[in-house]
Formats: sequence, structure tokens, C-alpha cells
Amino acid sequence: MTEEPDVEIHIPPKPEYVALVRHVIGATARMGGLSPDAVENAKLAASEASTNAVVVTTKARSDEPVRVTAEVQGDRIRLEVADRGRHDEPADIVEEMEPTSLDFTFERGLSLPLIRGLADDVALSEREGGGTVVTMTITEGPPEA
Amino acid sequence: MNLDLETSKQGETNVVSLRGEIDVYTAPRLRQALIDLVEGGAKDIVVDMDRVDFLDSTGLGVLVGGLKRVKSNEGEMKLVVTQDRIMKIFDITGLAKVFPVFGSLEEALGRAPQDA
Repeated sequence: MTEEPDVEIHIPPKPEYVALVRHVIGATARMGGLSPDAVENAKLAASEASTNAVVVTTKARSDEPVRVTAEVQGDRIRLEVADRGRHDEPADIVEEMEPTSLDFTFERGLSLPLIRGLADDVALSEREGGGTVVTMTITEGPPEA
Repeated sequence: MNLDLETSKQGETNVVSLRGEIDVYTAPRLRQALIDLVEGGAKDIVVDMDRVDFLDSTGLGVLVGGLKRVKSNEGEMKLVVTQDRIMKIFDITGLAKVFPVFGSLEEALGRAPQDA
């Protein structure tokens, strides 16, 4: 991006800060004039990606902040979540929390499928200097199931 | 940001009423509440999410874990979901087919819904 994002926040890699990301992204999307559905989708997608970022950063025994940027472009919002962790197993938070139930296939890796269901596109790339960047674009969201 | 959690008994069924946001920070409390219920011998559990404003995959994982524990106790876990945006999350992840989902606590408890 050559332009500056509308909003950029840095949070400590701790679970209690994910709610802060959610509320900032929700407010940014609302102020940008996005529909209520798109606002909710943006909040959830940002929350999922930030949760992953916090988990992988903690696993990497790092206290580097997680960086979240948001930019409203017309009827869409572009979100970027960058961490300094390692995404060997993307979206394995759920597994972490329920280590006794690996045989339940639905329980594994719900995060990325959920983001894919909410965002028009999602891409994971390596971050310069180490870590991962998750980039997502949300418009009006997929057709109602 | 918070999650209020209350448990009560309706006949033989344990009802967990949630209010607020279920995410990576608050989900462990729900997880522990479900573990405590099952370890205390609870068989049938209804999780009432009528007043849940936010649910993410961490919360879903905890619910799935709870379902599994309840089933290993030969019990049943039902959900009350009243909001479209919460239901959508179950639909996207395919979990709507895994949980019995009801539109009101009365229905989940097997009581006839009130006539409109």
C-alpha cells in the first residue's frame, strides 16, 4: 500500500486485547459507511486473525506487538494483521484449547474456514523481518446461508 | 468487554445462560463451566446464547469440546440461538449440523412454544 491506512493499532500479544481490535475495526467500518452485515463480518474476521496472531506470537515466546491496519475503500474494508510468530499450523487455537478432542474433525482449524466464509479474499504472506501478514477484504459478505 | 455466565436447573436440565462476548479471552470460563457441569454428573445441558453479542471460533471450539464431554456422559447438549449473525457462524463452519439448535429456551427444554 502506498497510501497510509485509515487506522493502525498495535496490541500486546495477549488475549484480552483482541476485543480492542474488534471494537476499533467495527467502529472504523461503521464510520466508513459499511452495511451492518459488513461491519459484523469485519469485526469477526479481524478478531479471528488477531487471535491467531496473539497465539502464534505467544508460542514463539515473543512479546512483539500485533499490528492491525484497516482501510475503507468504497464499499469494502481491507484489513491487515501482522505478527512476529510462526504459522506452522494456521489457526490451531481451537485445538490448543481442547487438546483432548483431536478426533473431532470439526474442532480443528475453524478459524481460517470462518475467515474464508466472511471475507471476499484472504491471503497469508511472510512478513519482512519474520512473521506473518494476513490480508483480508470484506464487502457485503457472502450470500446468506 | 465481558462475558456473564449463569447456570441454573430446569427440571433435570442444566441451563447455561450467557451474556456478552465469547472470544479467546472469555471462552476459557465457558469451557470450565461446562467441564464442572459434566464432572458434577450433568447429563443434559442447554447453552442459551440469546444474549450473546459476539462468538468466534474459540467459542465454537469450546462448545464442540463441551458437546463431546456431554456425549461421553451419555447426555445431550442443546443450543439456543436467536440471532442471525450468531447462527451464520454455525452455518459457515458446518456446525449447525452438529448441534441441536433451538430458537428459544422453551423449545430447547421441550416445552411447547407460546402461540403468537
